[in-house]
Amino acid sequence: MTEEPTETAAAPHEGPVEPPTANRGGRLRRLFTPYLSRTGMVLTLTLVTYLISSPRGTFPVARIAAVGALLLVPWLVSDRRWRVGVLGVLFVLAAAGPLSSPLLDLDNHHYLKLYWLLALLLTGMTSDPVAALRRTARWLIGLVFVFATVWKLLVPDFVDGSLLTYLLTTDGNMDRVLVAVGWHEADRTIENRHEIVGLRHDPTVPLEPTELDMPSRSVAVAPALAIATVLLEGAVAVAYLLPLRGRWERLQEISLFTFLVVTYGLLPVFGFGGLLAAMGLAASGLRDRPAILVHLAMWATVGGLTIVADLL
Amino acid sequence: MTTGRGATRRDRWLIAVVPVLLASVALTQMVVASTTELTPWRGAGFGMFSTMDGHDLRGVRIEVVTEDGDTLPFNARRLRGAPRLGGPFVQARAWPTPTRLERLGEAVIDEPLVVDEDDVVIPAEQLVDVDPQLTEPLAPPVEVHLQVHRLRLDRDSETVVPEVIAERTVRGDPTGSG
Repeated sequence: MTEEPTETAAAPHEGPVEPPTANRGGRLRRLFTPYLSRTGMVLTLTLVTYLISSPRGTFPVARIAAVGALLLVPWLVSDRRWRVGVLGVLFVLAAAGPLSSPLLDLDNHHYLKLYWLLALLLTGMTSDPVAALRRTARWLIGLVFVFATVWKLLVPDFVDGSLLTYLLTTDGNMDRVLVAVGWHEADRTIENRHEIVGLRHDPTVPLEPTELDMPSRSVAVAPALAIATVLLEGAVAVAYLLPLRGRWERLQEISLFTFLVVTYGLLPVFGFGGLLAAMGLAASGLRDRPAILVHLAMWATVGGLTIVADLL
Repeated sequence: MTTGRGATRRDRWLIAVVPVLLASVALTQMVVASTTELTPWRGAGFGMFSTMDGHDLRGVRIEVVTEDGDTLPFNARRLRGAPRLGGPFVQARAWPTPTRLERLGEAVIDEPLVVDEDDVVIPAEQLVDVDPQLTEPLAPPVEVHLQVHRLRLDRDSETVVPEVIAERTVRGDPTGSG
């Protein structure tokens, strides 16, 4: 049987370790300190994001297992067998529901959650789980943004601004934000949405070209927004896939944070943004404390933007 | 006993397997969505928000032909949440192959249906905002016409232009045995 060091041996990666002779309150501190380590925070953010935004079709037992895993984070951080065992069970339960429901009903971030749980499990079996997870996370973030960017370049109606013009003039989420910042007049796009719903599903509405009320500012700005989106997503892909060194490596955090704020400020998808923040923490080349603070801020920002969008 | 070199090779494999899986699935989706009517938004290819041809932006129109020969419109707005119709609906909308359209048509024929006061057909279990007193049960349709279309935006004329991407007519069992 292979003898491998437990992750405890990788403690230097994991921040300060409490002395065994901790004073009163030390036990509580020992319990919570693992949550504040890099791996502990990656697991915590991943599991909380999963619980808030589980893939469609998820069985209740998978959510219960995720709560259990969240409570067991101190053991998952310090003991490889716990990590592999608990995450193995969680992955099987988490995948069973969505994969037995219509696959075409799953969003891309639902798949990414399952990929990420599998990555957390498999890298836990390596000789250096922290370094292995960092490499896997960089690949996964980079590949997601490569495919997202290539798709936007492949399809003409993104680069010419058609999709963003359409969303700016019909999407309820975008409209709420744009009204709040004074870009749109209130209720300007409600009639557009009404027209579109009828055109899509109501056989009594003739299937013919339908005029929309398009705010001229949105029509004018959409192509520039589209190009900026492609450049931003391309920058995230490059930052995570290229072997950048030194200050250039900070492009990872800068590009990802910018993407999260710009994109989820308009179209909040917490399940995707929160997961990217957790993966970004695992991938980060920053030292533990600044890495945790930066990515916790990303995660909280996405959560905050989602809450604000719901309130508007 | 695993050698250090073996462990390294094993580590590399464990690190690479998920990224390789993601890339393989996404590349396959990219090929399939580029050559068929699979929407780029679905299928784990990360094509979300890249095109107006998204599953949620597509329309599905359904008409049923009754045993009296009348053609009635079917309200497809709430199909997504319908217990037996939701699955076939989202699949036919995201990737409208003949088989998926056939499955949706058969599910509509097998579903208990009612007609509302405006002569619009609704699944009997989806009477949201509809007074059940003003509906009448409908016998299983003899035919169901299905049509999936996408929307294209003409920025010059500021219009959305529907384009039909798939159509199918599904016939019910003429013996009425289900």
